[in-house]
Amino acid sequence: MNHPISLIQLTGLRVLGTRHSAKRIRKLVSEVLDEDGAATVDFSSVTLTQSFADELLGPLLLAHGPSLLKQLSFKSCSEDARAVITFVVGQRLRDFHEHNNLERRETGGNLSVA
Amino acid sequence: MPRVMRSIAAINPMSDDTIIVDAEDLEFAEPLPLCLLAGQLSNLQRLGGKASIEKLRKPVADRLERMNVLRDWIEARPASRSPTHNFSFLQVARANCIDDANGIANSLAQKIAEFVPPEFCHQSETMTRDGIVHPLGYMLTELLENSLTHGRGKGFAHASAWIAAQYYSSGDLIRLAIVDNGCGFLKSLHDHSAVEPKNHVSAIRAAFMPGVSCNRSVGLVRDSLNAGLGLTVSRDIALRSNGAFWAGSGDAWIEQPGRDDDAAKRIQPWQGSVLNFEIHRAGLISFNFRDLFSKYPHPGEVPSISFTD
Repeated sequence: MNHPISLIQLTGLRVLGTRHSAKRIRKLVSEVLDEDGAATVDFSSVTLTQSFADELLGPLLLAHGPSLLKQLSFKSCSEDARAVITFVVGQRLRDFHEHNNLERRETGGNLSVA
Repeated sequence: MPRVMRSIAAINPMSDDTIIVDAEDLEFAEPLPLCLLAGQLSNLQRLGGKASIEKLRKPVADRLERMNVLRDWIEARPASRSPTHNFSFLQVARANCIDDANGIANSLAQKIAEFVPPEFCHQSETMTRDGIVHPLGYMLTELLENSLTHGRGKGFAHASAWIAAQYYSSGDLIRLAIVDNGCGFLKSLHDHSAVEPKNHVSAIRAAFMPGVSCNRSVGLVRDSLNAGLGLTVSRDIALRSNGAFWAGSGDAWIEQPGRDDDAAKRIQPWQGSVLNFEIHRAGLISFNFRDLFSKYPHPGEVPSISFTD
């Protein structure tokens, strides 16, 4: 099992917070995903805003789609944190699908894979 | 509230004269006028003008100086009367950049949660714990981030935000104000289709609609996103605590923006945005984010997410 990324240890904050602060942690999560193929984010003793969750997870979900959720786990989330994460995941996966459908329409259904 | 704004917003930041604020009778300051005064004097200073807050009684001056937002302008005078001021539960801070936001929000939420009104001592366990810190900290960070990011667009990179919270020795009311001298809602959202007609009233109303943001993006290459929910959630936390909420920008001031029965007034124009909240501790304790998020446009079916203990 990969070593959890502890948000309280990284930030020292109970309420996480701004998009700006989430970017740094997203970079770390992304590095762990690249190296280990999986990452666990530890939410012990913290709660988070929708903005923070969106900035932490949104760009990753938009880039990787639902497959990201097989690589990522969320440890010790409060009920509030779960509600925020679930909302953000749903929103950004909807955006991911909408964006891909739009691209398919624009390319006439022929998507090229780089 | 518009009456208070009229006096402070009427200070001309372009004035060549030294602006004298006669504070002889000042015994009590609420968050909104304090933030407005600090913001307006800062505008004046930035433009090379001068101001002075005079005749403040010493105990009041001492408290305001410790708050560190009006220090540049205070000329303290010896107390001439017995102090009757009540600043004891007033916290105020100035945020100059986004790096300040998390620290200020967490510290302010913690300070407010540490105080337990006497009527609630029997509930002290719940009154001082996460039930207060989480929703308050949530609001404070979202509001500061909004002011310090969107407010700084469109040529207003100099903008700052002033935030103040006040609570009282009895009752569970918390007053909260956040004022910035940024671009304001209309400039920020001018090109958004939800702002129609293009005036301040429409822009304020649009800013509190879920999903309305100046730069919401679903592109796959952007490094940063926006969802347009920060103000909506903050307003709804206040309202769910049985509180109230006002917002102003430009020449518009709206009570409960975004509700069907909201009421708009014209005010002395303010360059930037002004938000004023009344929140109740008792309402925060029972606050539940799952219930709140369920009322926003639903994202549909969410695949299984791995939550572990």
